[in-house]
Amino acid sequence: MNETELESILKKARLPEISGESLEMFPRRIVARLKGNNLPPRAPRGFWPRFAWAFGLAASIVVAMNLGHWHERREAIPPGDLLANVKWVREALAMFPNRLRAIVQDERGLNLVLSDSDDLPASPPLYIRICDGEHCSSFVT
Amino acid sequence: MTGSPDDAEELAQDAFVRAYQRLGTFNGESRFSSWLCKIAINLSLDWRRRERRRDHLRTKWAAEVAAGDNPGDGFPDELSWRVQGALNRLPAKQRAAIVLTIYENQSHAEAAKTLGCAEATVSWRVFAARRKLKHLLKDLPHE
Repeated sequence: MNETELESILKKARLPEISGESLEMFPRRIVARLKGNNLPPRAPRGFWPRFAWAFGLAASIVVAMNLGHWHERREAIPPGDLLANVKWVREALAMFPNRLRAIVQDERGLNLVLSDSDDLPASPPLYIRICDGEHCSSFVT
Repeated sequence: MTGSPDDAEELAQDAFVRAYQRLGTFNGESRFSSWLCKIAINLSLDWRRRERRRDHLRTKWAAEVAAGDNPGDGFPDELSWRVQGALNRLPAKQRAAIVLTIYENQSHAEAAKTLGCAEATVSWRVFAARRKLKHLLKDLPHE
């Protein structure tokens, strides 16, 4: 058997079919595991409810303050801000279709906020950056 | 990488969970899919070491091949089943190199980044794996 023949045999081999039900349940199983004992250690108890209120208020303030300063803010985005990378954000959205509520980057690191079900409407992501002098946090929602 | 659809699904879940937990370590230097693939491959290699199933699988597959058993585990045809059996008999890192270069269409350089080793190491593993696969699959009809 030569290399070409081996290559042909290897590429002809097909994997067992994955059932549609397995594919459909796959994201739910991951979300269920993340909500269980496998939650990231950085997510303290009670963080998400407080975060939801803080995010809503902060988003309203920031959007109002940033009207008319969009171009200047884009130039000031530091290179280390992963959420400013449109390509990465699109890949993250593709990983969790209709399920990704927000992506948060702060001094604790990067965190995803996922919905329990895939019922979120598709809409263009909105990038928001909030700085209080020393610390900055970025959100994509 | 596992030879088992059930184990593959479980490891796939592990990969996504670990990626979520380590999202802060992704620095954007590579594509997100490449970073996720690396996590999945490393989990597969750890799984093999932890489970110590290599000898068991070798024995199992060798017995099934010798007995000429019909394809199982949902494989669509005998060729696919035989190829999976041969892949299972490779050392884990050689199998990883073949899976990445043949089925993920990665170059040796890309596979080396995924596996965290030198490109020359990947080339050697691919060479050794292909030599062994030719021996294991020599009785399969080929064009």
